[in-house]
Amino acid sequence: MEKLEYSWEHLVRRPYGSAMWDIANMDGNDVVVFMVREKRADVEPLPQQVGVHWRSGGIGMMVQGQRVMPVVVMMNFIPLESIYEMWFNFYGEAGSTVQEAFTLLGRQDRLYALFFDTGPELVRGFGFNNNVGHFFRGHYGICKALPPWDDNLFNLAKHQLQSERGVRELWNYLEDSGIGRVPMVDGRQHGAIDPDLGDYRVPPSAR
Amino acid sequence: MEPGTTPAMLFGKLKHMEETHSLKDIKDMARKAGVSPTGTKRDILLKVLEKKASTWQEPVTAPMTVRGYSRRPRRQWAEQEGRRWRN
Repeated sequence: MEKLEYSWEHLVRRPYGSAMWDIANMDGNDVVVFMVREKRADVEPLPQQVGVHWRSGGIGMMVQGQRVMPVVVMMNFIPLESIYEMWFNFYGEAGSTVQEAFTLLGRQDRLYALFFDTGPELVRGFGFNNNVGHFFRGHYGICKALPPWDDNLFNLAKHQLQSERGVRELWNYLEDSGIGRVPMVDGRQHGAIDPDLGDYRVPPSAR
Repeated sequence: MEPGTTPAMLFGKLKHMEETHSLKDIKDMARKAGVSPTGTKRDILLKVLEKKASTWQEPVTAPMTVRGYSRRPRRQWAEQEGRRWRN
């Protein structure tokens, strides 16, 4: 039987700088929270208001002849001069949970960044305006229209993306390529998406 | 949008743009921002501002109470994990 662990429990065993997401309950509502492990001494003295940029993107790829679309949320946390990436596997074994996360991110008002160090208690938590809601509302349908992929293919795709691009390069790529954009309803395409995702893949220049 | 922008400032900006920009200008703006240019001026502007509000942050009223973290196999957590770039 595979050992289960809480999200925070997993995170605090990972190196500093690790980041992931979970669905948790805040004031009676289920919300997606973004969790980061950083040193208490770095996070505790941060001011009440901090500058943050968020970006999201769905990166369609062909892996072993099958379409896979890893979705990434990136948080540029200005006071720590750090960019974090967190991944969503729409069809992973935790599929229904991930799909619920898409739905929640599509409608929750805030994005939450929660900082942990060694235990389950938050060192600091910050709430921001949700500017990726539109992206997640659009990409729920886009991912749903794709044939399901398995965890292995997702991990291969993620590994390929990470080996092709550093965090900073991926951050710039999401903006420059327009891949974080949702396709237009008037037929214009951004992020090279078409109904069967025929040309939706990392462009040659990105390889 | 600059750090420190408040909801009131954002609303003021939206009203100002609604009054001073034509529907065509706003639709062009939406296309440039990569959002759907359908709906009223306000609908479109809201989508554009949502897209652009990447640095708008608000203080969270303390304490933040988070409950109900999930339990899952380690490999499912590992799947979500990303890297950090630090300047």
